[in-house]
Amino acid sequence: MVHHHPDSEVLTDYAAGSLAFGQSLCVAVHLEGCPECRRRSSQLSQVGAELMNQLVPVAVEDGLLDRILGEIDGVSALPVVDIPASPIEGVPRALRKLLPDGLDAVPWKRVTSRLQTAVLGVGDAANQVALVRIKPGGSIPEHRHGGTETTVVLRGGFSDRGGNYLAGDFVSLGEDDSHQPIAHQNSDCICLTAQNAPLQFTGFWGKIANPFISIHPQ
Amino acid sequence: MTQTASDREMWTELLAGLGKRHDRQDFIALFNHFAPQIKAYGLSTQATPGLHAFAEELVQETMIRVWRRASTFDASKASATTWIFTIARNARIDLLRRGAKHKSDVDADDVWLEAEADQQPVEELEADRNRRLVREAISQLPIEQSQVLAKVYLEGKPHSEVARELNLPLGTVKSRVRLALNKMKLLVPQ
Repeated sequence: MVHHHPDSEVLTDYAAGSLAFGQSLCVAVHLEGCPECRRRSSQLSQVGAELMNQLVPVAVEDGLLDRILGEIDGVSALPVVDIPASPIEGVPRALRKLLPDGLDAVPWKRVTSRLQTAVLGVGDAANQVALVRIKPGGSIPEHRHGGTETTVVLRGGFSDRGGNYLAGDFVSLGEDDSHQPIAHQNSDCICLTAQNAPLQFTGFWGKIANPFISIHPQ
Repeated sequence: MTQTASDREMWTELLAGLGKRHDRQDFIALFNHFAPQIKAYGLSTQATPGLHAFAEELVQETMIRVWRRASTFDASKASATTWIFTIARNARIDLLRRGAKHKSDVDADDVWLEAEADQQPVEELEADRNRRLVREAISQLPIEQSQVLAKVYLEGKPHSEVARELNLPLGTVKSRVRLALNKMKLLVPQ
């Protein structure tokens, strides 16, 4: 059961297609486990459809239809099915191309004895998208966010002052929010995060432990 | 452009028929109706150089996807207008990403279409009621609300960018969008 959801700003931007790609990836992972937000998102898409529908139509160039008909002549009308026959265990569908060998085959980079990260190349110039893995009971040093940090839990869980977060839970923190996530004791906690600015660690240890200090958005 | 409910049902039936029979005449009828709307949507994209060519390319890309995927359209889950909007939205995201030379195996359909794919069928009456509420509310929104909605949905700008552009606090943009969505009686999360 998912308890932490994207707010109306995030979900509306997502349905409109205006949310940055990395953050949208986090929303997609959440939606997979949250029928309620899927329903909201689909209603929010209806709003986009109505807005498009109420625009004054603009005639297309002569010849466009013929070009398209020429293209589809050779194109199969069958559905494009690119979902692997057996979905990878524990990997949400939105991440299956990025993690073809599953979460256990990720090339983790050690940050501290309790913390590992792996940057994912999703082609989002505004955000750095990464997996973060915290060992049981481990923590990420208290930090603030220069911009927005969006997180969705993939496996295990963590707690911070905002509550308990388990698989599928979604949290988006703004630049004034500060927190110190601590992984639950019983298992590794793996999260997907999208950050549009480097973290600012608030304590002394943070300065040495900043997992993203040398990594910049691609 | 306004349409009656029966117009909409007609396009939805036509699209469902295209999925079953792949008849070019059905496709041409859908093109003649939707292509000018998709072009208008493309032209409302945040100004990029070559906007006109971009809008034409968006129509082409969207309509080819419509042809290829028509058999996945399920009239019990969406109207033709909503389904085609989601295709156009994803095509626009992919074209903009391609234009920015973002190299990645992941495309918009991995992040959007899939996530929305397994909707429960909606009762037809309820779906009609929702669509009517959304349509009526949109046409009656105060200008400051419709302006913000248009920037988010049509120009493709997130709330934060709209706030910067209009020189408004983010909270004001959020509340304008929420007020508009409340009028449509949508399930708005907190």
